[in-house]
Amino acid sequence: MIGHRNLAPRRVRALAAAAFSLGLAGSLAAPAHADGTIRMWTFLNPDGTSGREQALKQMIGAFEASHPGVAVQVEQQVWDQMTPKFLAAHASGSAPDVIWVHSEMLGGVLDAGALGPIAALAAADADLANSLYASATVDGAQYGVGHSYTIMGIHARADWLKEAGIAPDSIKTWADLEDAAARLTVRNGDTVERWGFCQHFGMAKVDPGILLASMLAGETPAFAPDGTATWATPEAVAGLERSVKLIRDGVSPPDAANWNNDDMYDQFAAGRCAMATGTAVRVPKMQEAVGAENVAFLPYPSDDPSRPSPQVMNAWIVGVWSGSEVADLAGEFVAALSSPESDRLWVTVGGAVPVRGSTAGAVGDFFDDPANQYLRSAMEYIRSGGWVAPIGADVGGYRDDMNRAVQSVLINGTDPGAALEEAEAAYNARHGYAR
Amino acid sequence: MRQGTGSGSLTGLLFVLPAILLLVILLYGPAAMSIFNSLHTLKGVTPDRFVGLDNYARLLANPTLPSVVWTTTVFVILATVLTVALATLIALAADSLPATPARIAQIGIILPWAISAVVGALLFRWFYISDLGLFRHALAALGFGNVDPLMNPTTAMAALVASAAWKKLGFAVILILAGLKAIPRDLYEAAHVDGASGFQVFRLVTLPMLAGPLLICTVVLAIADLNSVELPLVVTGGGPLGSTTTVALAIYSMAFSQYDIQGALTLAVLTFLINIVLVAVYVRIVRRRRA
Repeated sequence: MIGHRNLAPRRVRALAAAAFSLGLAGSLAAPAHADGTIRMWTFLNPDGTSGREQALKQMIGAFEASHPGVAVQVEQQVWDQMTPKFLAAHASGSAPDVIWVHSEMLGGVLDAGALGPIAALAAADADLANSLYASATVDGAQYGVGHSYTIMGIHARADWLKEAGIAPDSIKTWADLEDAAARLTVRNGDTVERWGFCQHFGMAKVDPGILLASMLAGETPAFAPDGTATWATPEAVAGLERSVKLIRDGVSPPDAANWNNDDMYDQFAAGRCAMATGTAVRVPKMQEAVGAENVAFLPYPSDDPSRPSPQVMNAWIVGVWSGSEVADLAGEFVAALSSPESDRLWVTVGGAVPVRGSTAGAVGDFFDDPANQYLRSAMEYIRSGGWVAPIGADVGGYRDDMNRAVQSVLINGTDPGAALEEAEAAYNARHGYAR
Repeated sequence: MRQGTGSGSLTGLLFVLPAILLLVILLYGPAAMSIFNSLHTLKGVTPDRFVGLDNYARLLANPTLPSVVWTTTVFVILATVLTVALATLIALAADSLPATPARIAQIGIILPWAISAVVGALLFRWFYISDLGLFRHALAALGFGNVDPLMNPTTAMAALVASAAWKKLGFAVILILAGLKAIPRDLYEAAHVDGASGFQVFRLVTLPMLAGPLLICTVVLAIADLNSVELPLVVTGGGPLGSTTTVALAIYSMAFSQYDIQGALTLAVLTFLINIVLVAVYVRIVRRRRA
C-alpha cells in the first residue's frame, strides 16, 4: 500500500511500459552463450524417430556424459535452406557453433570464411579419406568431415522384381531397365495402377535421374572445373530421349513433369511406382512404408554392362563456425561424431553409409541382413560411380535447368538437342559462364 | 486530438517501443541491409565490393525476368479479381440471410482462411496432381478425357488462381460483408420508395457505398498474392516451363535452389519497392475514407 501511495499512476504506467520493452528487447537479443553449450544446426531432430535421429541422440548423450557440464543444443533446420541461412547467420555474427553444410555449397562456405579449422581432426586420416573429405582440407587443416554420404540411384520394389522373375543385379544396361520397367507396369483398362519406373521433372526440390547419369557416362564432362556446363552432347540427347520414351511407352508417369522429389517418394511409398529414381539415404523411409526387405537400391545402368553410369553423390560436411566462442569444444564434438564408435552407430542405428573405411569391415554381418543390403549397394556405387560436382564452383540450379529441358520436350515437343542447348545456355548465362 | 504531456508522451513511447523494436529488427533493419547489400558484390552473404546499380542491371538483363513479371501480373490480377468478385456475390447472399444461417455460412466460408497456407496448398496439389484424384475423375465424368491441369501452362495458371481464390475468399467475404453492414438501411428504403429495381439498388446504392471496402480488399489481396510463395511452390512448383513462376517464387528458387543469394536479394529489394507502392495506395484509400 505504501508503494501505491508513493508512486503516481503515470509513473507506474511508465515503469510497466519500460519493463515490458526491456523484457522484450532482452528476449530478442542474441542468445547468451552459456559456457559449455554447443549450438548445432542440423536437419535431424534428436527427439525424432528416424534411425539417424536416434543415432545422433545417442552420440550427443555419450558426448555430454564424457564432458560433464557440456550441453549440445540442437536447433533443427529445413535442410535445403540451412546452408544459405548459416551464411546469413555468419554475416550477422549469430551462427551456431556446429553446422552441417551441404557438400555442393562447401566451396562457397569456405570462401566466405564461415568455417574454422578443427584441431581435433587430422587432415591425413586415411580411414576418413575420400574426395569429399579432401575438399574440406585447406592448407593442411581440416575444416569439416562428411556425414550421411549418399548417391542417387534407383529404388526398386524387390518383391515385385522377384514376382516378375527379374534379379535386381541383372539390370545392367539401359535396355535391361526399359524391359524391367515395361514388365513391372500394371494396367487396368485405361488406368495405370503401377508405373514401372518413375522420375520427376518439376522445377523445385528435384533430384537428377536418367538424364544426368547419361551425361556423366559420356566422354565430354558435363561440367568444367569452373562450373561451365556442356550438356548438348550425344549421350545427353540419348538420355533425354530415353526419359521421354519411357513416358511415351506408358511405363513412366506423364504427370511427373510437375512432380518434385517428395511427390515421387510418396508415389513409391504408396506402391504406385515399382522403381523410382531416389537417393540412398531415403531407403529407410521407403522401407518403413513398404517393408524392410522390399526395397532394393540399384545403380544407374549404362550402355556398358560391366560398369554403372556415374551419378551424383553428396554428403553433409559437419564443421565448426569460424566465429564460435567454443571452437575447441565444438571441434571435439565434430570429431566425436565421426569416431569409429559413432560411425558404427550411424550405420547400424542410423542406416547411413559408413564414413570410415574400417567400419565397412567391422559391420559386415549387419550389411548381410537383406534389410541392410542397400547400404552395401550404395557404398559400392559411391566407389564405382560416385560423381562430385566441381568443388568451389557454383553449379546451383543445374537440376532445375535439366528438368526444364525434359519439360520442353514433353510439353512443347522441342527437339531434345535444342532443348539441351537452351538449358545449357540458360544455366551458363545465369552463372556468367562463357562457352 | 489531445496532445500528450511530456511524461505522457514518454509513457506512450515506451508502450509502442516493443512494436518499434520488432519492426526495426524484423523489417526495417533487414530491408536496409538488403538495399545496402544489393549495391555490393557478396562473398557468401557478406558485402564485399561496392558496385552501384550493377546488380540491378544484371537482374534486368536476365532473359527470364520479363516472363516472371508477366506471370506475376497475370496471377495477381486474375486471383484478386476472381476473389473479390466471388466474395462480393457471397457477401451479398450472406447479407440477405437470417442471422443464424448467415453465421453458419460465414463460419463455413472463413474456414479455408483459417487453414495453414501450406496445408491448403497441399490439398490442392493432391486434388490436381494425382491421376487417380478427384479432379481428374470429375473432368473425365464431364467428358474432358484424361486432362492433367498442371501439364499445360494455361490450365496450370487457372489451377493456381483457383487455389489462391479459395484460400483468401473467406477473408474477402468478411471484409466486404462488414462494408455491407455499414451501409445505412434508409438508403435502401429510399431507393425502394423511388421504385428502383434490385439491380438498380445494387448499382446505384450498394456498389458506390461499398467502393471503399472493395478497394481496400483489392489492395490487401494484391499484396498477399504478390508475396505468396507457398501457393505456387506447392501447388504447381512454378511449372510447367516456368509458366507459374511468380516473383516471390523466383526469389525463393534463386536463394534456395540456385543458391544465387545476390540475385534473390536484388529481386527482393525490387519487390519490396512494389510493395511500398501498394501499401501507399492502401493507406491513401483508408485516409480518404476516414476523411
